[in-house]
Amino acid sequence: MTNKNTSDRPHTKVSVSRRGLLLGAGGVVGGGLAGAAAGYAAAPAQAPVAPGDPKNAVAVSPGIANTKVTVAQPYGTATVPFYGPRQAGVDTPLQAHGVFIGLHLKDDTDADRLAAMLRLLSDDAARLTQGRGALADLDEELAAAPARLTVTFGFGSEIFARTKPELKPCWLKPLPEYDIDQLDSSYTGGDMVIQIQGDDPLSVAHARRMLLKDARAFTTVAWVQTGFTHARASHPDDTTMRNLFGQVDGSGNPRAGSAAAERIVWGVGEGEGNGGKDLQPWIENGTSMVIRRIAMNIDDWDELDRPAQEAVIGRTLGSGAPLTGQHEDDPPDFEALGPAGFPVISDIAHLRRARTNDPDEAMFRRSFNYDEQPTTSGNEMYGETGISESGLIFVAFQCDVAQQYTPIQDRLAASDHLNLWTIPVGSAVFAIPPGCQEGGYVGEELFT
Amino acid sequence: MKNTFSLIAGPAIVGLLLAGCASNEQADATDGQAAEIFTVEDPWIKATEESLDETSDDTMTGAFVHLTNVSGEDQTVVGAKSEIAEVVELHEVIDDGGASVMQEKPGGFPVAAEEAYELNPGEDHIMLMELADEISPGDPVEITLELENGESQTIEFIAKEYVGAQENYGDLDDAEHDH
Repeated sequence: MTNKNTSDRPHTKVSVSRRGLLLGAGGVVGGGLAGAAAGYAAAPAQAPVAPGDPKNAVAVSPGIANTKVTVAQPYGTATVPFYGPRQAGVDTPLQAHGVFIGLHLKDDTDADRLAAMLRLLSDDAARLTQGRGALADLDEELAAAPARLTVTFGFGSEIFARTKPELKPCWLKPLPEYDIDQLDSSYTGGDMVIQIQGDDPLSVAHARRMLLKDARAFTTVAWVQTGFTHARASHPDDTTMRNLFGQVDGSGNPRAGSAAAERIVWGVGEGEGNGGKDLQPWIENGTSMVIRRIAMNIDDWDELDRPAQEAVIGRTLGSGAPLTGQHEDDPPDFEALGPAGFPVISDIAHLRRARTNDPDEAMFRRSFNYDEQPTTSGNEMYGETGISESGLIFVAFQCDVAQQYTPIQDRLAASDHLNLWTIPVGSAVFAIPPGCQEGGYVGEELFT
Repeated sequence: MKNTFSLIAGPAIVGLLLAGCASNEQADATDGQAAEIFTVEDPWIKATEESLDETSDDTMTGAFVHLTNVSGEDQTVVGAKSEIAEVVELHEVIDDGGASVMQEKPGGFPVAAEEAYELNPGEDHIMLMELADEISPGDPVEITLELENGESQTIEFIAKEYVGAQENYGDLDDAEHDH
């Protein structure tokens, strides 16, 4: 075994100017949680990088091992900022892979310990999302291709109970019990959620491991859900993802940054100006997350011919356009009648049941598919043939669950043709705190 | 050929921000010290309160950091101290006939001007023994590096849960760690 600092191996030469900071005289420096700044500054496009080409390798940082790996542009090197007024992973672009982890707080995780954990986790996220290993990361090479990695933290009631109960939003509680639900505790509830998403399953898995390593002293894992959309570059970046029924899933989402998204997700502004809700964010730049695990019976769905499948949802499968339109974004015409005098979009079509005339009664969907190992030779939930255990990790962000989400869910639970083929098996609601700046941490508002 | 990316290092900046409020008093208390010697990157200390490794030794631990000498002259770290430990030593890991053995490093850590010096698990590190208390994940721990020229610099290390960096010694029976 060689010792880096005594062997002939040269030290990594790091010029002072690159570090760029002279600290004050004799004071305490460091502070360990240093997430931020390092990361990629993408160079101009150049020739394709060959795997393992040392001339094109990227130094992995913090660099316990001083190793280098090659990472391809633009997809491997692409980053989404971690620091900012809002957390990433809400209305930032949808990635290919996602894992959602529900956590329970240990009994002795008090406010001080919670703050310590959130500092550690925020630092991990800040580094990993920018292509750096976490602090004390033994496998930092796994972080080298962030591929739009995002980490998003959400809080359940218990976090508020142990910190600032007065900040807990009134909608932060389980959704109403619905007759359609067959909730499994394995996918329901939790005191906190960590949402990790990225285009590279390797860096997603590494982030999951590193975050849980720092969370395990404070929490236990309540549930884990892994999902996927489509590989980046297999479709144009703004393509609505498709679920395993073949439906475009997320049509009608307000476009990030639009007035509608600002109002619906963040409770900012007047949106389209004709909303009927009094939307107030629970905290500036905060929002809410509903995550529902939806089992899909594809065996039974297969029994429907395509026109019948399209009638169930009210959209064409190909373009995702409403049955009354040509393009995915066309507004549906609920008054239109077919040749026989019946509505083109049926009274129980999913699209009709999900809509009202109130533009505030809306959400931003960010769902992922799941496709698990079938556990039996078939069942009513996933189909009698037992070849698939597939479904949707339905994720919706909105300013106010009670005013925006629940009315829609109430209508869909009462009547939605799609319910014949879907069963909600997991459900949880979380408050999404604001983002943080360098030197801060997600959730700090609960501790100051 | 130009590297595909340039890595922008700046963690020391951020570390300072985080440490900001907590360290002001300390800064005042140490104003008598000399000008900045090292910039500091990624200081961390192995927590003793392991949720996984129940064999963890609560009486000793290791601390790690990447230093860059910005003082303009060669420096040698000859000692360290911390309120949390009775004994703090500068250690190296040597190859003793195929086994990695940790021992006090003769002469300390020499850091040439403008050079970086890394303390990592399995390599040079700061060894803390006879701890006064457990170190929990997320705890900040201050350690003061003492230099040959009489100056010193205090660094705040953040505790991370870490099951490596096991403090084994060649002259001890560490059979349980043999793999």
